[in-house]
Order: sequence, then C-alpha cells, then structure tokens
Amino acid sequence: MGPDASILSSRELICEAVPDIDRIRGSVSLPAVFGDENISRSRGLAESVLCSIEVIREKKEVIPSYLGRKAGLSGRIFGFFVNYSVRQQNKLNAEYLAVADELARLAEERRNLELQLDCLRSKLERIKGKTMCDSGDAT
Amino acid sequence: MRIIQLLTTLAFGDAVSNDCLAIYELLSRCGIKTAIYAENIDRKLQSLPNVKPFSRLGRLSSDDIVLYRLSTGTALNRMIRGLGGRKFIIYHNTTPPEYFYGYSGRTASLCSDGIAQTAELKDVFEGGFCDSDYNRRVLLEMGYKCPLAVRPILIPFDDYDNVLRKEVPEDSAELSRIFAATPERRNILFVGRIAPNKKQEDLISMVYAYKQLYDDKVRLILAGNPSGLEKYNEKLRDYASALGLDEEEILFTGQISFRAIVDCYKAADCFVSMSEHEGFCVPLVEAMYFDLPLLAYDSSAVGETAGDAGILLSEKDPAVAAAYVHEILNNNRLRETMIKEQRERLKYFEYENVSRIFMEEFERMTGISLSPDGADIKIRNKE
Repeated sequence: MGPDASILSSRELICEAVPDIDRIRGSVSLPAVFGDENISRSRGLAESVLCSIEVIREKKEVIPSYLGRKAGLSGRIFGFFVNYSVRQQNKLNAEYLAVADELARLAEERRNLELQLDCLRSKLERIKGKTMCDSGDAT
Repeated sequence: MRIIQLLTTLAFGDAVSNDCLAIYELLSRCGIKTAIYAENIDRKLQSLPNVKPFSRLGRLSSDDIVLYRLSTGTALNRMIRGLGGRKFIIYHNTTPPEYFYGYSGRTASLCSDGIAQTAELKDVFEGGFCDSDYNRRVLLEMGYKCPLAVRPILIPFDDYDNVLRKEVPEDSAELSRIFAATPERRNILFVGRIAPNKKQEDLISMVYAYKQLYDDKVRLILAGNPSGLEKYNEKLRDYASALGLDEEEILFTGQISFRAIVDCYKAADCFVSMSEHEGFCVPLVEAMYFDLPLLAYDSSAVGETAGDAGILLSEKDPAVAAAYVHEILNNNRLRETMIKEQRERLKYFEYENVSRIFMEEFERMTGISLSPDGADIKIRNKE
C-alpha cells in the first residue's frame, strides 16, 4: 500500500499525477531556435549597413556643378562658390562612403565571428557532454 | 548616531528600493535618526522626507552606520571605502555579465564591474546582510571574512491591497479588457524585467509544448519592462512568432503600473519561472501572496526562497514544464495542497517576521538594539 494520499506534499502529488515524465521528456521538438538570425523579422546590422551604403553610393556625386562660362563677373564668382561647395560636398560624401564601407566590412566580419563562435560553442557543448558521460555525471 | 542607507538608484517599485524604503520606515518607527542617499532618485520619491541625493551626503561621524546596498557596478562602489562611519553591506547580488553579451554591452559592463568591485570591497565592511544564503555564499567565495547574516527582503504586502483602492490607470483597464475578452484562456504568469538571465524564451518554448500536448487554451503573460534590453525583447517576439504563437498566447505587457502588475497576479492561474539567476526572487513570494501555484526552475536562490512550497524543476525540457503546468491547472487536489504549503511558507516572509530577523541581526552585528514602539513582532524559524 502506498503512503496516505491525504498527507502527500505537492511535490509528491505531482510525481504521482505525472508518472510518465520520462515518456514526456523530449516529446516536443521545437521548430525554431531562439536567437536564430533566420527567424528575425528585424534586419541584421550588416544588412542594414549594406542597404544604406547602396543609397549613399547612388547619391554620392552632386551634379551638375555650375558651368556658366559666359557669365559676368558676379556670375563667375557665384559659380566659383557653387563649384567649391559641390566639390566639398562630394569630398565629404566620398569620406562618408569610405567609413560606411569600413562599417560594412566590420559588420560582415562580426557576423563571421559570430558564426565561428556558435560553431565553437556547439563543439564545446559536445566536448562537455562527452566529459560528463565519461565521468558518469550526466545530471 | 544616524543610520544612513546608501544606494545607486532609488526607483519606484523595484524590489531593492522597496526594501530600502521599508527598512527606512522600520528604523524611523524605532526612533532612529535615518536617511536614504542615492545617486539617482525617482521623481515620485524625491519629495519623501530624508531621501536625498548622494552629493548632499555630509561628513559622517565615527558612530554613524552606513548600510550600503550593492547590486551593480557604480561609482559609489569606489567611493564607499573613503566614507566615514561604520560600514555594512546589504548584498543583493549581481547578474553574471555573460547573460547580456550580444544584447547590451552597457549592462554587461555594469554587471562585470559590479562583481569585480564587490570583490575589491571585501575588507571594507564590518558586517553584511544578504537576501539569501545563496548571496551569502557568493560573498564568502569572494573572500568576505566579516560576519554575514541572511535576512529576506522586506516586502510591504499592504501595498498590494492598498493599490486596488486607488484610481484605475489606463494600462490596468486595458489589461482587464484583454482578460475579459478571452475568459476561456488560462493565464500563466511571469513577472520580472525582460532580461536574458530570466530566460523568458524557455517560457515561450513551454507554451509551444503545451499547445502541442493539450487542448485547453493558455496564455503566457510576460509582465516586465524591456528597457535597455530591447534587442532581447525583439528576439523573444521573433521567437514566439517563429513558433506560431500569437498575441493572444504570449502577452508582452511592457512596462506597466504597479496596479497593472497586481491585476496580472489576480488574473493568473499559475506562476512559472525559468530564471537562471536570482539573488532572492520577490515575484515568487508575491505569487504566494496571491495564492498562485508556482512552478520554478531550481536555480541560484530560487529553491531557497520557495522553501518547501511550489514545484521545482531540475531541467528545462519544455514538454516536462508543460506537463507540470497542465497538472497544476487541472488537478484541484494538487492546487489546494500547493496553495496550503505556499501560505505556510509565506508566513516566513511576513513583514513582522522579516522585520524581527533584521532587527535581531542588526543588533548582533552592530550592538545597537532596535525596538519599534508598540509593534507586536514575533520571530518565526526559517525552517
């Protein structure tokens, strides 16, 4: 005869109520992995940077410059300043693009490192699991 | 002689701040001259008497007592050594930084600094108060040699009843509408900051498993503030979506009012925690207060706070967790036994008992006797 059911603790009761826990364990496989970039609805950093670089690349040159060769003195002075500011703008755009390219390269590198890290993590888990099995400590 | 409580942030509604205010009230009732100094003070608390910015802390005399609350990396940790008075640590533990890698470099750095600074301060304090024996062991491992007492966090349970008598805020009304619209759905609650150490993804996995194994409808309420960890919050949402769980099945409340949190406890059918790092875990005690059967992954201080109450999980298998939740929701005898055991456990955390433990340990550490006027305080054994 088992113990008096009226004095069982809740922890004993649940063991009694769910006796087939070994059958239940592992019975549901999850269709997705938490943190997997493939399930992310938001864009990753590398993807976002690459998108914005394309936009910048398309607009990197400000044209046309002022080309009023037949203009009077005031027109030529005005043209000089327009051309000067356009050149400055293009220079800034080129510098900005170089920074953005570097950012994209770093983002890509980070993504590769993350992949390598994941790979190393799973290797470590496998090694850990093996060690635990070797020592008989699987709990 | 004054007793000064010193902490980085005095916020509205967080467990450390609530404990700080409760100790402040207790010391005031004992006729002690006391004050709270913090680097950051929530606007709602700035008007309280004797709550002041740290910058206004004057010179401390040799018989003044400083109760220093440590839970994270902060500039205060570097200044505490130079302060006068008799110094005691109230240790709340610091989350291991690894949990925040990839989500918040700033939080990871604060936690990393917090752990390093706690270790550096090992010779600074005359004694310490820890929320749990788990926290006490952490300090011992860091090399603390001073006397360390375990005293649970002081939880002013009256606040939970008082808030229900106040005006209903908009978020509370919205939650009530959601719960009323789907009365057939049973609510599984977890209360706590949206943070990687709390492992909300394991709760989402459990709901997916529940849906695969059983026919009755459940909803997971994740009541917690994602502030500072938005990236983790986004990943949780992505994960829920990838598992085909919709907003009716997983409810992210975001930051909500205290009243709305109480509403969540009242609407819930059980409380489940998969957290992997807790220095105490106040929500477990809150769940006991609201008669919610609790199921928790047995990590850090969780098992110690639960005591003999609640069901503890030794593994993270989503199907196993789902099977236990199903049983808790549908087995009346189990529910009744759980609630009975939890009510018994709750007695240990009653205000009077925890106050008494604090006063006794305080006297043992400092030699100063505290006795509140007219308070009827009886001590209960921990076990």
